[in-house]
Amino acid sequence: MEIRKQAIAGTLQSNDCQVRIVPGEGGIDLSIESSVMETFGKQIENTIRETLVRLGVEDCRILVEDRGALDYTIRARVETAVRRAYE
Amino acid sequence: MPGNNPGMLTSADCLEADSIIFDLEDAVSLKEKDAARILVREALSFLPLQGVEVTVRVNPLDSPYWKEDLESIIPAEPDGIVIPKASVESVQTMVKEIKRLEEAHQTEKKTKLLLIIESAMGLIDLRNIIESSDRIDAILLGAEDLSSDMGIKRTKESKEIEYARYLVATAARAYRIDALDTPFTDIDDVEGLEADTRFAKSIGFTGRLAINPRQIVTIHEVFSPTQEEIEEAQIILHEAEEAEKKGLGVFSYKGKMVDLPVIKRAEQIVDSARKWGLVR
Repeated sequence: MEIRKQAIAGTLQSNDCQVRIVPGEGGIDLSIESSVMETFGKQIENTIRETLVRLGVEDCRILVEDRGALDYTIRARVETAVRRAYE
Repeated sequence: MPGNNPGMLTSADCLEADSIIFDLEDAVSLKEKDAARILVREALSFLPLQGVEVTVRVNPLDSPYWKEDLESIIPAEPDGIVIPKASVESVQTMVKEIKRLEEAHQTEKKTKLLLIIESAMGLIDLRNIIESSDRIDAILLGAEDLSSDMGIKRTKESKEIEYARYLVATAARAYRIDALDTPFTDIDDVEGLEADTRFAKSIGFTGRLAINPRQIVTIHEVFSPTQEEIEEAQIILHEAEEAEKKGLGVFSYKGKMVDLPVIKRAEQIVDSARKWGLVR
């Protein structure tokens, strides 16, 4: 799925995360902000990357601001942002 | 439960409700419909959600969203789909789509339907609506939208919805499906909730929608049979067995005649007690 424009999904409320995605300049450029980065940073990154692979996204810049989201929420918000960026 | 709120979805099976509705309709703004259906789909697949029936309220047939809702949700196998503004057309159209998706995704569950009756037409066409699918598990009264459709003022006394309540409860009983009463909207009035729910139970409702987790305990207390009712029902069933052995169709208990309708009522109370975990 091609990232054609900037898109945002999710919120900054507790248990949620906000995902901002824009067209990339070659490859995946991923930034994560989370208060649990030390403990769960790798898991969050894996979830984001797996979701991008599943959706066929190969080229984007993506910023995820985490507010304690569980895996399913991260997956959902990344997918929503990608679909909105593809419209 | 608002379908776009991950904090609430995550706590769904901790609320001690018998059934949860993840909402894609009124609790989700138009610009977040896409986000909510993806979040609910992921929640259904990820969260353990044990010991609670999980259903999803999709958007109505006259909206542009219902088809995408079903496409997203059915593969995640919820226990049921809640159809708002139910009509024969909406039930038949959605069932057709649900069956198509179940087959395409080879789902294991046969999705149940819970219908919200919330229009004057829905009310007078209730019988045809219930007969329009064999998947209907319950009918729910939506008194706020019904009042709006009727052009009448909704009051706390609820006199204006009495006819609708009697009709929904009676129709559900006639078809042996559950009747769930409209929510009590004043979440701070526990006494009012209890009194109003007792009335709902007295006319045949088998449950009630809660709009706040704080209402669940009160609703459970009203709908679960009392210890006295359970004991009396068990004695009646025991006496009925003895009477049958003696070839008696009718016997008396505490000076009152006990015949088949009374025995059936006793069976319902014991079944209900079993459902609530009050007897084995």
